[in-house]
Order: sequence, then structure tokens, then C-alpha cells
Amino acid sequence: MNTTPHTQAGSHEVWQRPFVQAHQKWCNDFVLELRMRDVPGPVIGERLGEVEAHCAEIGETPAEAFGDPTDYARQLDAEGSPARVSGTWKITVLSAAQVLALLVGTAAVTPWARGEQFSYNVVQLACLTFFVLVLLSLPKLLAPLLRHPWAVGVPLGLLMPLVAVGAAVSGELNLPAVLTLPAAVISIGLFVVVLVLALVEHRELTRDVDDNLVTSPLAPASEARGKRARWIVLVPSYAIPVAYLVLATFSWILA
Amino acid sequence: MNAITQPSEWLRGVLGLCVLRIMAAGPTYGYAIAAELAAVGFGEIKGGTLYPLLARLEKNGLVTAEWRAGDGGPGRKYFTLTETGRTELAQGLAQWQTFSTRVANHLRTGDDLALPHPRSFEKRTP
Repeated sequence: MNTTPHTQAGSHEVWQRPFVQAHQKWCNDFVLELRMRDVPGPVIGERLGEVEAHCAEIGETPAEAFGDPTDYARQLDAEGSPARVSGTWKITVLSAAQVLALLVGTAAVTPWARGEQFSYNVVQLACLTFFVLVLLSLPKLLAPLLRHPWAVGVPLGLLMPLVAVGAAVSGELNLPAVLTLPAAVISIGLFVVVLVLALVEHRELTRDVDDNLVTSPLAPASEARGKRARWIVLVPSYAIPVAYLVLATFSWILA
Repeated sequence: MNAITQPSEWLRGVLGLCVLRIMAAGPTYGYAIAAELAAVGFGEIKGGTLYPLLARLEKNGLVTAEWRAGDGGPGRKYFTLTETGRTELAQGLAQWQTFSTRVANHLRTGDDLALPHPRSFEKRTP
């Protein structure tokens, strides 16, 4: 099976194509649905290339020729998608673990600076568990979030600060501690954990960078306006260790 | 050209075979396949119907695909029948001949072309 992109075309992202820009809503919904199904970027670009080529020949819009983009993407995926990219869940689990380590580790800095024990009451533990569950559900929540930002995104966006406030308020209520940990060990240990997870995530993102880009098999209409820097995709993996250091420093100073 | 957004049940069953038959003449691309299907009387086959079928043929190794520069357009994806595709086509044609003969024989209404009378069921008394 030869699905190699056109050799003269060079590899460029579909977002630079005038066709995609002219039918942005349709193309966005189409790409989103295939992304949610872990279809590799170059295959998505290939499918979008078919749509563009066909529409150019027939003189119709994508909606006229292919119908609803989400339905079409589902149909295509059911009929002919090759092996999937398995990165979404892996990256989400790594990120969720990093955020959990960040929350716990930086919270331990203040008691460490004061020479106290680091403890959680039952409310704080429940809030932390809820937060982690939401993070782990992000691959499933992402599509509804993007399609219905007001119906799904706003309630979720309001709920998270409420959970954080609930955890903070419960800390002032002198509830009995259900989990007590050595503050210094937790602060330093979890920073090491965050760093290791960042390195693993970095490796995953580097390996999958070509599968993540939605590249077009069609010849570029004009010179590409510069490739998106590949390192941009690596920012998420190192954002958490940097945030850890910043938060820990402020917590120590303010303790 | 009649607009057929969803193929009828009849067409759905044989569309793949018809597409393979068109490809037997040489490498071709999506729009040309749709135009040829329309020309032989299948009506307008929408892209939303045709390309998932082509993707399935490609996935199953019945065709290979290659992008070529288009005439003034952005490019064309040409599909070429593989040996497996030719074998599948030959088998499909033979099966279709058998099936269509069987159906034609069954539907044949006789010399006077009169429809058969409804079967009468007599009530049986015990």
C-alpha cells in the first residue's frame, strides 16, 4: 500500500493551505474528530487532501460533497484507518502524574520551611482525588470541551476553582489529618519525580512529533511561511518542573 | 445527473465491485471514478460515499494510491489495482453473474408477463 505523500510537494502543514483556510470550520471539525480517534497526523492530512482535490474538481464545498465533517470522519475511520497513534492516553497519564506531584510537592514546601509535618485531611484528600480523576478523563472530555465550550467547559472551569477553595478552607477547619508525610522528603522527592516524568514525556513527544503534525500530501500553493518550531510541542513537558520550582520558591519565601 | 447521497441497498452491495471494474482499465482518481459511475447510470455518487470505500480498498490491499500533480488543480490521488484487487474483481464478477442470473430467473414472470396470483391458503378444519 503506497500512501507516501507526493514527493515533489514537500511536507507542510494543512493549516497553510488556502482551501483549509477558506473552509476552516468544516476542516477543523473533520481534523478534530480524526484526532480524537488517534488517527496519525499524516493520515489526517491525506484525507483532507482527498477532500480538497475532489472539491477542486467538482466545484463544491466540503459540506456539499462530503456532508457533515464529523459523520464523514467517523465513516472514514471505520472503513480505512491504519494503526493508531497511542500517545494520547500515555501523555495524559504522564501529565496527570506531573500535576499531582506538583500539587502535593509544592504544598509540602511551606510545612517544610516551618519545620512542621505535612498532612492532609479527608476533604483535601477527596479534592485531590477528584482533581486527578478530571485530569485522567481529559482525553474523553477534550472532544465535548472543544465542541461545547459553554455547556461543558464553563461548568468544569468553575468547578475546579471551587474544589481548590474547598480544599483550602478545609485546611483552616482543624479537621483530623488522615495522611501525614515527611515534608522535606515529599518536596524534594516529588520534584525528582516531576523531572523524570518530564524526561519521559519529552521522549514521547519527540518520538511522536511527525505523527502529530497534520501534513498535506498536496503541493504547497506558496512557499511555506516557516515551519512551526518543533520545540514548541516540547514546552508542555518542561512547564511543570519550571512551575514546581517557581511555586516552591514562593512558598518557601512566604512561609 | 441524479443526486444519490446514499446509495440504494442494491448499489451499496455492488459499488465496490463497480469501482474495482473501473480501475481495471488503469490508474484513476476519485473524481474520474465518480464521473464514470454517473456516466453509466448510477447517478451522482457523493465524495462522502466514494472515499470511505476507496480507503477500505486501499486498507485491504486491493489498490495502491499515489499522489500526482493535477492539471491546474492541487493534485490528484491515483488508485491502481493490485494483483489481489484483480483476483478480487474476477471472483466478484463471477459471483455477481451467478447471483444476478439466479435473481433474474426467480423474477421471470412467464410468457404473458402476468404477475403470479397471490397464494391462497385454505382453512383446514380439524
